[in-house]
Amino acid sequence: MKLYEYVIRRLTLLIFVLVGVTLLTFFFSRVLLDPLAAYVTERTNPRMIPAIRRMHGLDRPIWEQYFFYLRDLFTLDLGWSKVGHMDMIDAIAAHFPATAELTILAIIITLIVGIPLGIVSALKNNQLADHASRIFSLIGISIPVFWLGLSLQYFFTYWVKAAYGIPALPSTGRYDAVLAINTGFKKITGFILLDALIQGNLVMAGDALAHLILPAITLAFLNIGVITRLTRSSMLEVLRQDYITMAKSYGLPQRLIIYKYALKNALIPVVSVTGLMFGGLLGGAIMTESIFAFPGMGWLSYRAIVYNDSNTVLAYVAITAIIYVIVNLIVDIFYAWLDPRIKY
Amino acid sequence: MTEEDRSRIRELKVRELNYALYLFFSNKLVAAGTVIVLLFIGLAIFGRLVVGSSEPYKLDLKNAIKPPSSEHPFGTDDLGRDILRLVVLGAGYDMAVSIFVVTASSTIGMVLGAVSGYLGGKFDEAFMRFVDILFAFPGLILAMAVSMILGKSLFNLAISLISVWWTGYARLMRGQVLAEKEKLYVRAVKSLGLPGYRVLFKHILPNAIYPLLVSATMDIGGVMLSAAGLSFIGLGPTPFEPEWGSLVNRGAPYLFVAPWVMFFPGLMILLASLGFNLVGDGLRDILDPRLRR
Amino acid sequence: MSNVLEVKDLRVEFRTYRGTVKALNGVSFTVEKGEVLGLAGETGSGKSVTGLAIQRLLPSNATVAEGMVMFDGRDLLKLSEEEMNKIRGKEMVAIFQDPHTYLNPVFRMQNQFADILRTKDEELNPIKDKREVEKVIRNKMIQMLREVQMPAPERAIKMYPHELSGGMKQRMMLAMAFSLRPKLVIADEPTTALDVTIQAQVLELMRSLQKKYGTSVILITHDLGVIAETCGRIAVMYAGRIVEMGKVDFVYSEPLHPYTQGLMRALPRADKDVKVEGIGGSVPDLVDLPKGCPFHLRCTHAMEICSRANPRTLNVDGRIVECHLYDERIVKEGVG
Repeated sequence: MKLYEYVIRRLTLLIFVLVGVTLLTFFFSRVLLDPLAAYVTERTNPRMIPAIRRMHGLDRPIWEQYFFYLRDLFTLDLGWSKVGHMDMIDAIAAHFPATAELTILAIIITLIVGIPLGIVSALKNNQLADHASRIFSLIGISIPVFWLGLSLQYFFTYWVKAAYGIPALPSTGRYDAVLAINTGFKKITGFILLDALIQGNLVMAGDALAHLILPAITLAFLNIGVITRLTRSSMLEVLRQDYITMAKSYGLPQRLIIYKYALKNALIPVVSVTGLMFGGLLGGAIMTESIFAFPGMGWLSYRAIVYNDSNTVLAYVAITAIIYVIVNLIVDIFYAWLDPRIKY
Repeated sequence: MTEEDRSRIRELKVRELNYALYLFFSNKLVAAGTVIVLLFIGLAIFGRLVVGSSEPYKLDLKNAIKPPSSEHPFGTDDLGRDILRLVVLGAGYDMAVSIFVVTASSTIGMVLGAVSGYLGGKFDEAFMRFVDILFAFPGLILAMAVSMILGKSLFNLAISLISVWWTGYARLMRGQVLAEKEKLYVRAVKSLGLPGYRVLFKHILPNAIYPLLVSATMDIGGVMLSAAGLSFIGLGPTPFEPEWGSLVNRGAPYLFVAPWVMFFPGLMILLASLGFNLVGDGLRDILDPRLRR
Repeated sequence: MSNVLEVKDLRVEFRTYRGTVKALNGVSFTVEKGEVLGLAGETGSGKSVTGLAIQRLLPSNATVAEGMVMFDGRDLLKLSEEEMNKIRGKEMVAIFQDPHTYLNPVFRMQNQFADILRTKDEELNPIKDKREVEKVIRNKMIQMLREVQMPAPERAIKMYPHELSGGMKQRMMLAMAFSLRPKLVIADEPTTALDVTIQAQVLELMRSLQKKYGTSVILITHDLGVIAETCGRIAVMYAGRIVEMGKVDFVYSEPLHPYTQGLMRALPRADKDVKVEGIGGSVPDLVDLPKGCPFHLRCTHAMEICSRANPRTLNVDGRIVECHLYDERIVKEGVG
């Protein structure tokens, strides 16, 4: 099967899974919970309620309700977000870019730190560097994300200033609004860091980075441990292979063998794991964003939990599922491209 | 099989076990991990006796938010309660939740996965599609949704975690059963006319269960983190259930003023989880066939 | 005739959990320019280890306890890794048994082949233009593939290893090996993983390439039939020693060492009507070698001295044998 045929096949599978996801979220939001909660607030005129019920098919049998649900989804009529104080879809649009920026930065940090660390551990197998990175990884996967976030926040936004007078990082928020006005910053993509760089606004870029760095490290920390270990064991496994012996027997330079012949093989499992990590990041974002008051979807969901706004929570659940599925699809396709042995 | 064969097999198994134990404890990190785990288990079971079951909850607002001192080694929280005692009591909750969740989800996953793999056909197809859909949701997120629906309580938190974690074990078990199904001994036993469920549970399962047990042990640390995480978000305990995650939650608003309130409970989570992960790591090292001998 | 390779008293040990495995216990032989030497033996005889030791490709738990490997006037064992690397691929090349595992699965053949030429081929050094270099490399590859009779070389070279058949992969290996015109090729079981018909073709190919470029070959295999067809001389190994070495015709028709005799008896013959016989017993434990001659426990001609002392390396009519039976001193003194 050629690559594009594989892609088509996976896309059809994707649609099936998405149907399943919507079924499950439908089950949660319309069957297990009170379906009206999404569309009715304290300010709604009680006489409007029957009309609202009819509009969303809430008086119909369950299987018909599903199609009303789908229609609502496609027309992006997701109801009202109590904690967002606006239509759900608007709340999502307003808050999602922040989370996206954060998770993408977290993944970049994870890979940039984790992979080289893993390679070094493999090359210096069983020496000090290896043992150190092993302990580091073990701690990484044992640390509670929220505790790490709070500790980093305490240390870098307060203690360094109080104890040593070093300028501290900002403890909350996404960017300094006053600074944005003063430097003439304009939002283009919604990704503050990116927009600042595009506009050549380095001051703003620095500000965005300062706000992003602590939450991103918090999210990345656990995964760095995982990636390091995985790269290490994968690399060791690959270096044992016959084709590496063959390359050595031809006297190919050491660097070529490690960074071309071995690495490409070793990174294959890392690619698939990266996709899976994304889900964890979206989950961890809830805790991290709430700690740093970083105005993304995670922060919104946290408040939704506190104020019992199930609609918003379920909206986040649905979105993360969809994103997660799509990300894994991309990863699978990339994986198939990377390893030519995969039989589609 | 003669009596001699049986005793020889026993002898070999004992030697295997001895060797495994030797490997296990020769690794310093693993030994440390085991010590930690045992400490925490001890704390969970006996902590109540040392610290008292109602003492720690007594409000003492005059003493609120006091930093660590000789009287209160971990300081006091916003209600004036001694954090050290709360943490000790909390051990029971965290350990109980983690072990309960892992045991329940692995059992459910094991049974469902085994049955599905054994029956095969349409049932298996449908079941795996269902599992695939569940896998489309990141774990913590799905647990959060279930928790919201069931209502916020520690028990519901555990249930929500179980409802998410069983899928992993189900897949694992199904794969194992599928592999074992084709083996000769299964066909042999089937030809003797044994009913399906006996073939599955008495014969296949004991052989297939191995990786599942390993996986479950290694998961305890991860489950503990998840449970603490959900608890931190507010989905779990009441103020009278000093689960560590919720303790950190209570301490968060006072972070810059009294960092110790959130610090020590979180540290406990880290240590307990670390202990379990060390043990799990050692377990995996032993079972790696290449590292043996 | 000059010697391309001279191995003197090579001893190699492996550290394992069970103890020290004495894989090579004093191996000595020479390889002349342009000849094909067969290194025969069962599993565990040390033949593969010899090949690896010469190339300095032994795994990390192995130590060369003693010995010299003279190649081109230099002792390979004393060279630095850098100097050794210069020799590898260019003057000394290896061909391995299972081409499936010895080729990198994620790179196309042209990628792997070109890397070898690009880093090692000195003819490319004077060419400054990068594109010119790539063109020359490509031409060389195609030309070499034609020499090994690879069907549709332009297509084959674009493929990934798993897309090629076993025979094609082995041809690829041969093409890569001979592309730099090495002085010595060490072939470790090159045809064992192949069908019999392909085997013949590949051996034929190797023979013709070897003749054409005057390359010396050490052919390591357990298959005596392959050695009979391809080699001029044969060295029979047992328990880390060479027990008999000489011209193939002579060794096969009149084996001197009892082990070699046993091997010949174990070969099914189409020309004679004789029964196939195995050799009783099994290969000795290399951690715990018996005292005396390593073969004496299975030897039908064992004498008393065989269990006490190691036989000397003797030269009998131009053939090398390690056996007390041919030791004139012993025979004369009637010991045994």
